[in-house]
Amino acid sequence: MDYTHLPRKIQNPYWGNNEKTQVICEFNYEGGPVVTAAVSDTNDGNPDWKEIFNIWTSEQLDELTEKALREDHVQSKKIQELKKDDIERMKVDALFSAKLDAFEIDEIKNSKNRAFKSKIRKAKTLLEVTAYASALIMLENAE
Amino acid sequence: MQNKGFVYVASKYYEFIQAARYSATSLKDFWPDSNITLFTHKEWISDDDTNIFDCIVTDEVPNHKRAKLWALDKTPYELTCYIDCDTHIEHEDIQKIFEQYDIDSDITITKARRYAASIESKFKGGELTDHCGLFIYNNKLHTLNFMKQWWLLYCKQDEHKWNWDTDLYPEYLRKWDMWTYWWLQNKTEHKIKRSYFSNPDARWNFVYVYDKKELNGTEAVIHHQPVPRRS
Repeated sequence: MDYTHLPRKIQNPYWGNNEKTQVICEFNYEGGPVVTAAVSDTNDGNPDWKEIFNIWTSEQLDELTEKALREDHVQSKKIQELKKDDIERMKVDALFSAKLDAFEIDEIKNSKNRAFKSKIRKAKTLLEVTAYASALIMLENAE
Repeated sequence: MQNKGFVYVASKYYEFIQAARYSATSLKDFWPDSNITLFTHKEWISDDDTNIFDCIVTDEVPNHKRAKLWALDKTPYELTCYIDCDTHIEHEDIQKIFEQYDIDSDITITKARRYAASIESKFKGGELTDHCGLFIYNNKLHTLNFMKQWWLLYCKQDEHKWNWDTDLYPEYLRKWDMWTYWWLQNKTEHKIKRSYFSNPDARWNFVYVYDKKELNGTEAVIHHQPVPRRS
């Protein structure tokens, strides 16, 4: 669908480079899409560039750029936190799965050695689970 | 009918019966004489389960993510401690858990922590304050009726047959049984009298994301951690 003939508004502009020769903004077409555009001036004079500076001053664009950078920073921090949470959750899940598996082993499940069973449940790493589980199996088999 | 006992419910995902065994084994380790009833599916039962659970109920147990709610009013005990499968016992004080029950109330429960909740527990119309993963309740008729209503309303909620003013109560509450509990307790005639575990209540239901400071220097009795699902 050709939408370029539709009336449009320019919104959310910010500087696209340090030299301030490019502005990133959105063209919001009435009844059509919102398109992100990079606008620069040309030798003949770009009407979009003129339109932007009819609405906003260079100082206002400075402020909007600061705001966009701050929002971007917050967003990437959130994504990093979520990734960290996912990794942490996967580790916790793997540890708990290992404990469940250990308690499916007859020697452990039926053991009366409460202290060792507690150590397996309280283990903080997979290595601890494996070590205490192996030790308990050996103890049970030795009896 | 026995006086006091624990109820576990394992349904829908096989991991829950594994977790129930894991938790109940830890319970028996610290309290060999405790009474434990398991509600689960017949095909999941193994020979060893009778060594862990004193009573196993499989008749008509629904294959449902909240079969817990279905089971609550079918407890064989006068005083029941419902305990989620994704828990384990870490301390011999578990033998004192029924002393936490306030006889002037119908249900004794621990408080939920907003910072540790999976969802935003505070919303325009109220706040989910009670953690429904572990609680002690009596078998008075109105209490058992509350449990039944909890199940029936949750089913309507889950099937989108019950809708509410989402300006006051966000739609994201739909999947949570804590929301159904909150509604019944705050907005209906089915409400029952509630009390809380004594401080530090976190030791009786220490969720793995809780701050250790919540224990006030005491040791956790029950540790609570979600079961990872492999299927």
